[in-house]
Amino acid sequence: MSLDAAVALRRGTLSLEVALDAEPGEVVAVLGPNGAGKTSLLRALAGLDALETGHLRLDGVVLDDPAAGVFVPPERRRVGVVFQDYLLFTHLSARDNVAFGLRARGLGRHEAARRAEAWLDRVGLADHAGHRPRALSGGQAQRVALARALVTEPHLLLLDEPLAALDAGTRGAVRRDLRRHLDGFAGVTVLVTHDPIDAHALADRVVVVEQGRVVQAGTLTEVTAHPRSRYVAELVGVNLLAGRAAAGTVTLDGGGILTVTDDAPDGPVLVALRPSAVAVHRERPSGSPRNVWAVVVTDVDRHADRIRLRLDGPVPVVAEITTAALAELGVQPGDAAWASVKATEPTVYTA
Amino acid sequence: MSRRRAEARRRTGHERLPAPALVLALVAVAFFALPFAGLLWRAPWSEAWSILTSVAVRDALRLSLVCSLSATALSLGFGVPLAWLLARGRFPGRGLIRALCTLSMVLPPVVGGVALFAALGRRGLVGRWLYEWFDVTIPFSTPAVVIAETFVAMPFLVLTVEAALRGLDGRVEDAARTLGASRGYVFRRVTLPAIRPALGAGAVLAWARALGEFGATITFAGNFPGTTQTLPLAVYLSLETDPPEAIVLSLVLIAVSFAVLVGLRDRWLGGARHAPAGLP
Repeated sequence: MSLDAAVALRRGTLSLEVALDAEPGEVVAVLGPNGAGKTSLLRALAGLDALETGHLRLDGVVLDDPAAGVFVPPERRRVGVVFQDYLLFTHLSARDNVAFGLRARGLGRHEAARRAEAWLDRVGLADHAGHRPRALSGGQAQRVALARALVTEPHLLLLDEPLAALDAGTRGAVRRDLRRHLDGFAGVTVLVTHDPIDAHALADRVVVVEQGRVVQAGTLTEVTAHPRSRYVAELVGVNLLAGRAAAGTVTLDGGGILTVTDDAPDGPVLVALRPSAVAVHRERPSGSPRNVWAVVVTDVDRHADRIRLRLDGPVPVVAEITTAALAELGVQPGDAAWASVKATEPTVYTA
Repeated sequence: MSRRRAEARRRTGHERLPAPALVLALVAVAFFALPFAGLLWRAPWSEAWSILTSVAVRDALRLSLVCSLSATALSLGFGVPLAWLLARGRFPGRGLIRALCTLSMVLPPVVGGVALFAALGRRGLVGRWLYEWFDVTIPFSTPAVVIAETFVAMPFLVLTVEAALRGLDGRVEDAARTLGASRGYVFRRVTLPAIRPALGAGAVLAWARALGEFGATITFAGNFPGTTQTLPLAVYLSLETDPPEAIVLSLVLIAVSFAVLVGLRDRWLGGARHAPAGLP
């Protein structure tokens, strides 16, 4: 049950070109901002949209190959989909929703109902079999949608933002349940999300898609340690700067200069800098920090007990300080200040 | 306005109409109510039962029901696929086809009857071949009544169902397809249940239009008691020969129509006001 996909298609102004491979039992998260083409990718995998070029193979069987003139319609693919807002059939009970795929494939009414109830039991909704979707909570509806997709024993499971429609209170519990079901699923799972927490909790691998292209792929740890785009850097909460490195000095594309450690690679590089590694001062600091530059505070943002200062200057960065430090500094948007960073703080890697 | 009255108004949520508008609205109500009051006032109540049970009236009533229900069935059978084509089809000239298929709604029914004659009459575009090859003559027969009624009634169903299909979230049908449902299965098990309120409303509208159909019927099917004389035609004929009978028959039509409007309002027409069964 392996997936081998090279998806290329156009949707309006979006041009999507994404290659995706996965082994049986693997969960791949497609991470990306809104409008990156994540949902278009899922629709192409499900067969709801056809490829313009490329190919799509599941278990070695060609499902879509425009060059060869092959297109298997969605109802003949062994693909299960959990849609973002679940799209349950509102005129059917939870049981009939789950049984729908079995009935559509010609299974008898009683056997379909029996299997549907077994699945509802597995997702902990045995008591809700007779309820209409309207009477279900968001978390319950999500579990019905999951059972509806899994009851037909698909080889490929597609999850489109499966947790986005849930409130923060139920998301954690539903995520844990989902993890458990994915662990027991033998096929390939492709999970589309814009939330790195979902990707971390559910996926083995991450593919970051921006504007229809894969910008980065690997394990979540690899991706977050060396972000290759502003989007990923913001997700992870680090400053990402691009420049050229030579002998322990990075000349940034914006004009600033950062001194880094000597073992940094030369040539075009990306520099990741944690906001908490940026110190902010009222007066020009003296002493050890190798990097000191004048800044203007453009924004003061509160996150719980942490303060994020957006600093404009030769090296535009976000600094994170404590509430106490802010009180001591007494800066406001528009104020001039000084920023400093130790040479050992920036992570430098080849772009 | 006193504070208390303003407060009372706010509580009940009723907005007081300006007096001139209220007067005009009441005149409009009277305009619709008075003709019915007139009919009730002129009705020959003592003869009503004997008129209603006469053979001619029973025939007309039976014919009206049979033909209007047949026309409704035909409208459903052909109109739902047509509505689906108009709502989902992607082809040039779709707007033109919609205009063509709903033209009979705004056309004077007599013109519709003449047009049907030109097409299906014994010397018409299609009718001449039907006559020559199959020895079939359509005009002035009960099928002609059904055809005339379908011609004017189907657009009501088509437009109602098309609007509902357009309002449907196509992704729900996508979801059904990913579950292994063929297009036909999706239509039967997902699309149809979702548009059922509109289907009911459209069918009732089409049926009411068919029941009241006069112009196209008398032109294309004539006015033969027992075979083509429906209730509206019988009313027209008896107005000249037997006015009390015309009044009683009119009351029958009114009673049937009114019962349909009131009885089905909550079930069908009311249901169409809401979004089709829970779709966002």
